[in-house]
Amino acid sequence: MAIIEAKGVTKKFGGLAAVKDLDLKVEEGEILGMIGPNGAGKTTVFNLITRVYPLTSGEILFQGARVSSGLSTHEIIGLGIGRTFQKTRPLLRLTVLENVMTSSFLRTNSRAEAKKEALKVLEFVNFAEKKDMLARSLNVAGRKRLEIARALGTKPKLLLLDEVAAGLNPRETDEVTGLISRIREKGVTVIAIEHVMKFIMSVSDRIVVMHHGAKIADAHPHDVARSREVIDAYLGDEYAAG
Amino acid sequence: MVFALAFLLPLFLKDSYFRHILIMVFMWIVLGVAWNLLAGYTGQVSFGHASFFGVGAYTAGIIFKHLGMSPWYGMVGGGLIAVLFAIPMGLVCFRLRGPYFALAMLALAEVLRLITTNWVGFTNGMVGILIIPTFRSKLPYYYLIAALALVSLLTVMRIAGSKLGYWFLAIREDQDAAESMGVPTTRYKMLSLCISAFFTGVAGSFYLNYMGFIDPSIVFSLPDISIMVILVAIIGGVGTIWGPALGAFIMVVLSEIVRSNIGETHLLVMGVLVVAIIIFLPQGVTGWRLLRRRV
Repeated sequence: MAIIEAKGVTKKFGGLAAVKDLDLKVEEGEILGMIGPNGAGKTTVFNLITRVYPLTSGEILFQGARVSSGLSTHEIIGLGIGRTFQKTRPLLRLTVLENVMTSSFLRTNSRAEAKKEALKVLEFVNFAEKKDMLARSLNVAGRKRLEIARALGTKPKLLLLDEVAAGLNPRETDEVTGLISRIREKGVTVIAIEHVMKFIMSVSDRIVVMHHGAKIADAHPHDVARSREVIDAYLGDEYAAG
Repeated sequence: MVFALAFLLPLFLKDSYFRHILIMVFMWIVLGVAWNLLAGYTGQVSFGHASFFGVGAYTAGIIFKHLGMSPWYGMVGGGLIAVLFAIPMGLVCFRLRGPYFALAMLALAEVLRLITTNWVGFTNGMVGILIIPTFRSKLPYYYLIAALALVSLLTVMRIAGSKLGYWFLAIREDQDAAESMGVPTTRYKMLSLCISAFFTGVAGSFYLNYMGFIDPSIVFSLPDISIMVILVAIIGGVGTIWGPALGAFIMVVLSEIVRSNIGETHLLVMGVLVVAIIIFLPQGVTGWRLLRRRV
């Protein structure tokens, strides 16, 4: 069963269509990669799923139920969709643990329980040793890791990752690759936006390529890398051999 | 500890002037703590908390004047009526981000001041409302307001250690991030506002019961209530539990000392002192390094 399905989704900002008539279907347990040039509308898709913006037309179904109208962002998160922000948004004056506890409180009212869950999440993402650090003193890699931890804290069934590997060094990137596989083993479906090709190629089951708000390819990573249209629009000839 | 001391203090301190000062300190603790919950914890700064203070005071006054009820009922009623004023403010302003709420609160206080000034039949206008205080001794007032200050501090302590507190802080730090962690930001801002308005309204009713007199320019005052409460919180330390308590003590005592020793220019001197504290202790007194470990 498709965990999330977008049908004819369009979003216009004034005269500009950021997303044009997008159809997208993600199966439960799948890891979907989303690539495309800057401004292609990838992040907008996440913002439409989580209702940061209303849709201009089309609809989005989550587990078969329509979520694209009548729900606010926190209600959609409550249904089981977690997200990270491309430009990280840590709660700066709180510690790492407190940041994650804030998410854990979505599923419990007890502080002890929230703390236990948050520590479990921090263990899971290998970040427990930083738990007492203030979020504002984290570096880029730390902030990206915190974004993932916080999204996991809401116990999502579907996780939307927006460029969590951008700006990381190769070792950190490998860690995130491993982390995403472990997230999948937990039964969480993942949609990941990324520019780091090595990362997205190795992590995804399927890749969707966006260009000017439209989907130009939707295939296995291997086939996407060979598609002429994708090479012209985004990858360039240098990468095409891969 | 501090409060055990506070409860014993008046037994030694027989001078009614000092008792009055302490009563004012406790009242400002309640007000500072209430403002701080909304602004310091939830990040929703209000420039017009005199609205709730005045509504609380006038609730007590009006039930006395029109219904012949004891103004003591205002201690509960005033808080609730203040909440009734808070709800529409929140509904209108909390959908917007930015300074709208702070400014709308400022406007509300001014509007209420004008209404109470001009609706003479209902409020006595500038003549004000005079009641005969129930007790001649200051002691009952002292214990009442000390208990109220304690309750307000305990409430904030309780909130700070619970889901409510974490979600308030998340809203303060980043509303969009909070929303994306599942926090219903509008509802929680409203909740914070209502709790804050309630305590402020109760303190307003206390003011009438204790002082025996209110008029619109006293209880809806921009400098003496709305700004003073902000200073109490800032001087003590915004977003901390004990900050407003310390700030209330400093501000009340400082303004008394300055007023009684300097005379005419006391407001100027007070202003300079406040500016100095803000420049040298931007985190408030509780943010002072020497104190930080203990507070």
